[in-house]
Amino acid sequence: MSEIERYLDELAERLAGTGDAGMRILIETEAHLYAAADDAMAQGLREDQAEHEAVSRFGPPALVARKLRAAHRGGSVSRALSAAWLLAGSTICGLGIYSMLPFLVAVEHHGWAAPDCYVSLAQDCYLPGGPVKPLSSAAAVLAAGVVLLLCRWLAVRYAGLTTIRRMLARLRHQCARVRIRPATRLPRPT
Amino acid sequence: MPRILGMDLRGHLDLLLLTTLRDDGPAHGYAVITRLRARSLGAFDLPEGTVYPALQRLERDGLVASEWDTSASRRRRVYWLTPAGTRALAARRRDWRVFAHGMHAVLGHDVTEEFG
Repeated sequence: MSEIERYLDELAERLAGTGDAGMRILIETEAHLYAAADDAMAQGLREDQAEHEAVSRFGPPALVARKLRAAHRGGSVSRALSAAWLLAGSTICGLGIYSMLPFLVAVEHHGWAAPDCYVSLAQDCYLPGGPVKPLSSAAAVLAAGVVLLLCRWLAVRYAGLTTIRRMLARLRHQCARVRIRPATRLPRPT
Repeated sequence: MPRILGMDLRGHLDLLLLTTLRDDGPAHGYAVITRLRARSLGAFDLPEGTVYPALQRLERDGLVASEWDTSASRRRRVYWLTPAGTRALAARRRDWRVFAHGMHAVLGHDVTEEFG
């Protein structure tokens, strides 16, 4: 077994559980190491020396596996937080707008001379259709949603939280990913 | 020129990879690494295996795209810059210029002359 094959075996073990990302990097590593070894032999090294040089330059398998796990772990947390934040903000905004609907209906019926209770903080208004929350409560809910979305925007802008565009790109990436066959060790072209 | 290993490159690898893809066009990982090494005159001699997770992270973030190239005897993943990557690169280059200007102002001209 050549040094490159030993390296690939060890890397495959280290990448266990990384799924398609691990399989993909394994295939790329194989192509990379043989290309690097070919270049080294073209510069005058023997085959075993060239393979040793290629493997040495690539770095320890443990390091590569750790970097790959880190690259995907950080993104998952950021995406989950970003999505949850966006969902919470949008939901609260939606509730605020929904709570304002009775007020808008009342305005349509009564004109802008709306009853005083619409601006009350605590009292419900009793309209022919039933009690409705005062406008100030709905406005407070809407404001809370807007503040939440604003905070998320600041986190995206200044703290590197995942954006919607990145989430969509990730989604497209997942949908379009190629099903990778298990890496096959082809004999080196002579 | 002295080699710069791991620690100093960690925060700037994305900028270097995006720049290489922008300037030299689409390329597979090995070509990106050899171009980077050549352009840095051997100074950026990082463990080559760490470039692939970085490329995957950039792709996950929508800054680069990739597809398999099966024209060679071994399948290789070819990467290129996306429009979002081009915008991100412009922003990071601005940040880098400010940072480099500040460092240069603090360290002085004699530091660059040491490696001249």
